[in-house]
Amino acid sequence: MNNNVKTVQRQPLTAREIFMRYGAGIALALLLLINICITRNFLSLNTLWLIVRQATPPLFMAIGMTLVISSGGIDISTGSMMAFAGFIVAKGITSGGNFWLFTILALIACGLVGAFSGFLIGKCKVQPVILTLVMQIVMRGVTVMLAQSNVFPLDRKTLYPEVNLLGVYRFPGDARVPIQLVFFIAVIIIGIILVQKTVLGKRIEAIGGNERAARLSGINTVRVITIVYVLSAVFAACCGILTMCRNAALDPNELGTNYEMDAIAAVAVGGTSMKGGKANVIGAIMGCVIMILIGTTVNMNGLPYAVANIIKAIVIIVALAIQREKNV
Amino acid sequence: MSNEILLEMKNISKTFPGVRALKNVSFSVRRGEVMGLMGENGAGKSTLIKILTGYYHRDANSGEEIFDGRNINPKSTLEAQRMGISPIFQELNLAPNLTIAENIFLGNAPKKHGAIDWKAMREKAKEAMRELGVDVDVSGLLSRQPTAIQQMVSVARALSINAKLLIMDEATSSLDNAEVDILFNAVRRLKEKGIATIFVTHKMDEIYKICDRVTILKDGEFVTCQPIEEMPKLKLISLMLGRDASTLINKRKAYDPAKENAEVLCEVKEIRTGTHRLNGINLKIRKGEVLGLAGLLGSGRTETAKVIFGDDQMYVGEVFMRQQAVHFKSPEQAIKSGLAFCSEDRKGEGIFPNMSVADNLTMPIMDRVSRFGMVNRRKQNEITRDYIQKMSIKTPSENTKIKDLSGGNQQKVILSRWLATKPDLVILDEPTRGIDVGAKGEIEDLIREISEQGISVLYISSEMDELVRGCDRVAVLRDGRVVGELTGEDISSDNIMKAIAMGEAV
Repeated sequence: MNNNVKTVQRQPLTAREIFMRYGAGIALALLLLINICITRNFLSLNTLWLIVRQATPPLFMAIGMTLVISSGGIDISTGSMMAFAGFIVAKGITSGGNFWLFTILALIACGLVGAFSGFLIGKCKVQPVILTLVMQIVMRGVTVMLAQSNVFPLDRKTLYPEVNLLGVYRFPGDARVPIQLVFFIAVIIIGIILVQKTVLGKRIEAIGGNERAARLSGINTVRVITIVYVLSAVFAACCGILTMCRNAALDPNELGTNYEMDAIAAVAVGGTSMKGGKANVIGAIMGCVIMILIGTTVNMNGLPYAVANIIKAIVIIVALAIQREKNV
Repeated sequence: MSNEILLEMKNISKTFPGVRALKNVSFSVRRGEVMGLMGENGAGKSTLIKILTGYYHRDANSGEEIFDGRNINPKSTLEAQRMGISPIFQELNLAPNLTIAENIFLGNAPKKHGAIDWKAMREKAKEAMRELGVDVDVSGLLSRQPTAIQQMVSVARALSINAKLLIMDEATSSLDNAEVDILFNAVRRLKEKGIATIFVTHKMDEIYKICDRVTILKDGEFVTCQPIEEMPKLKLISLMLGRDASTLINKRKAYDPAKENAEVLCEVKEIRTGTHRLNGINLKIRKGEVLGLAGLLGSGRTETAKVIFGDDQMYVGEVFMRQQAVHFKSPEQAIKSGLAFCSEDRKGEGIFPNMSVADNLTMPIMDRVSRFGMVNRRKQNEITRDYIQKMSIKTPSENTKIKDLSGGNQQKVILSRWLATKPDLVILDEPTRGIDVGAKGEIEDLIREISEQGISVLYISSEMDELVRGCDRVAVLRDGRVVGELTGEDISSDNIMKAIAMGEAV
């Protein structure tokens, strides 16, 4: 901001910068505090596991979305990608196929679709929001068409132990740790490493910050952007399969609708710049938990679910207001 | 020019968290005067201007501003503009997808019955541009125009808001000499109408061409304000830097005839591009040589660089590296082949604003500072600290965001980025644009140093003095052709200009 000021001392952060960097953490702490005060039975292991179980699938998508948004793009096809992945697995296992084999197939299929989007965005410079909107519609249509609008019930008790494992399994012991905790921790570690530690993460941020400079710095921008959308699609596929397992059913019309909006909101609340060039993966993780927690709060206090949407909207607006750059 | 005072700023202070950018600065401008505002990067020029234009607010209880007889403290740029203070900021501040006429009258359009009067707007715009000496189709999109015309539009826009005080902050940095003259003529005409101009620039010559008086700031403090006649160049620079400047000037590179026989590192033959920007360029760059590229804006200097660097593949002709024909598909390949290219557009093609100095500096050598795709932070920081020291980059740490550095220091980071790739040929496009005199000297020294290490340099610059001081050889371009070549003692501003004016294609 004040780049005309010569200084060799570290400047203390302004209030706005503190909010931008730690806003999600502050919001999360506030939300927890409010819950502890007003929500009955909030402080219990059950509540924690509930949040972990609910937050894990969207967390995958939020990590993918962090990558996409920090590259300067956006991906609103992820919800449809969830359904597509879910359909491949559901169709596969109900036809007698191996669950893990079809899971891998689904991830590859979604990755290919992501590669297609990424290539068009990176090479042909199609606007990401338009292209992924098209993909959202197309992939939903393809999924519903292939499924012939059928809902696939997946009876986990008898037929599909894998669905049971990924959906509702709890580790033995008094704590009743849900299987989701494993994924919860794993995806956080993967996300942090991917964004903060890898060369790919740096290149993605560089492209989001200044695509011309990135190209002139020897970055193959088309390849990196393609990889970004592949990763987003694969993360969305993971999200879809986990959600399907928890539901023990696949509804090709419904699975994943509006998920992408929550993921984008999580990323925005987390302090990742919507213009690209700056990823805040820890913020996105907290943003994702905030989104889930708002729903839980409303639920546990017996309020109608619509209230949750209003609260989410307020949180997002505040986050974006803090983020905005000062204009001349 | 009357002696009536138009603007008087007294004892202005401005504090940013941790830094005092201005300390009790006083500044005044008379009606119809062109006032130069000089100082190194970080001296507080831009801060002062931004307070005047309402972008920043001066510290509470510090001093006062009197403009046109009224005590003012503008809360926003809009408020300042309504009072008659019109800034033309360092970075162009226009809407590229609107027409020229729309840009000039943005937010201020002539209206008829509540709707925009397009016809009147076009006519007025045409008139306004003509007054600046530019005849151009004002219904054309702004983005189709060269930067120079866009700059003129900025000026025309400020004038349309009945400005009493025009502020040109680096307004000429993207103009070539002929265009600067047109702009200055416009400024002189405005002077007669009693409109004052504050002129901020790093280009010394322009100060002498246009300014009546000059105010010097240093480290946020007022140094002096004097008529330009009492301010010879050396004195001006010495006051700006706070040290004796005679060592900075007239350091001319020693002529070394041996370099003329060194092996040819890079050669381009008959390069043409489809848009007729290049019409058969022939160049040879020898090992360890500094080859200057002179020419007016649009003569094909940057285009030539982009062809060599693989950024523009739409050309015919041949490029040779070390006697091997090459046709780079991307800058990535050019970098692998030992090329480096430092763009003239630092903001648009150089920095990653939100990334750290270390990330900015090591971006092209990520493969070298990583293992299995994971960045080795320790190695990255080591290399960065090394360059921070070598290039005396002023930054709190290697983790500071590059956008928080001053222009000169950003430029040093970008130069370090390219030196870190250990190139054989560095292409520098206007490496000293928009940076202060001290940093300019350092960058000129650096160019000399790298050529002594055996690295070849292709040095593009609009500032002839720089080329004269720094080059072994200068190729002069005009209309996408080489129209002259000067070696050693023959390199002089006069000869370069002669070649631009009268040179024949070689």
